[in-house]
Amino acid sequence: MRRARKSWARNDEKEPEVNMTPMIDCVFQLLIFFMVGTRFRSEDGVLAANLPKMGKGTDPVDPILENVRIKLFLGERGALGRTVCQVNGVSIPFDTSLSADPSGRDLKAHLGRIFRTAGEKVPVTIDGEFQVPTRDVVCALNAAIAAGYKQVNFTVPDYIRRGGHLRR
Amino acid sequence: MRIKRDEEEAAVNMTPMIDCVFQLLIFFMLVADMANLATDREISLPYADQTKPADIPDPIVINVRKDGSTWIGEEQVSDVRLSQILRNEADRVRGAGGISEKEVLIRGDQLSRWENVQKVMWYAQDAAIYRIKIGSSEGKEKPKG
Repeated sequence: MRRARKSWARNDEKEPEVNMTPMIDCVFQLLIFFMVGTRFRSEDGVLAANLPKMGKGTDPVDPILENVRIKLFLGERGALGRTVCQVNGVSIPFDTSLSADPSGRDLKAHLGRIFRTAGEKVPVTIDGEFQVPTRDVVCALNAAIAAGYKQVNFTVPDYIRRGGHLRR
Repeated sequence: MRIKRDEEEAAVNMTPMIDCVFQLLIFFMLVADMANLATDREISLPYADQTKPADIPDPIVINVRKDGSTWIGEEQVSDVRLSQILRNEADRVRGAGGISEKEVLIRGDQLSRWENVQKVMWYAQDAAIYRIKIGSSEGKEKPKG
């Protein structure tokens, strides 16, 4: 009887010792894992394009790059107006606001039709007016890439010749 | 009884040390990743569903904020400084015909005027850099401000 009582007493003394260290370590590991995981799911990336190699400051009127020309400029209402989009002179419905069409669905469809008839060797040139938001030009670039074009160029007006600004 | 005590002492618990090593490893992986990204948190990139991962080796990352200011890393750069940096970087990898193999990544805020991005393009072209990448995002992020 005495022996049994002693063994019970020894067990009772050991039970309250719960080592929390491995659990805390695991929690920290998980925390860092999810922090790193969130970074990996970053949605930022890039779209590829080219600059014309015909010398500095290629002005918008360029006969060699005159195949598929996307022209973006602000409408009549000035800075508050929407951007007007024309492909070789044909106006395309274009509204890149989040509630409307941020991926340029109509422009994609129009460029897709040209691509199917003319093929990928025809370069696309995007001619964005200085006032147009970057969002609209990127939308046009996105539409051209989605249509299948590999070679997309931007027009770059001569910055220095225009006295340090790009207004035409 | 004495022999039993010796057996207990010999058992060394390696778990905390391994945990510490893993913590340090993950910490350094995280820090190294952040150091490579010369991104600007002020910038809200435009949406594009054709966005590809930015796997460019050693690019020149130029950030154009909504107000039109141009930044390289933590430094706001003037036109003269921008031209200088682009020329120096382009000279490092000059290929045939004087054309630089360098790539420029322009991260323009979605609400910034296009002229601010065009200005960077002009300076890139001036340094004979013709390959550019435009920063975009697959996530439909609302513009700030």
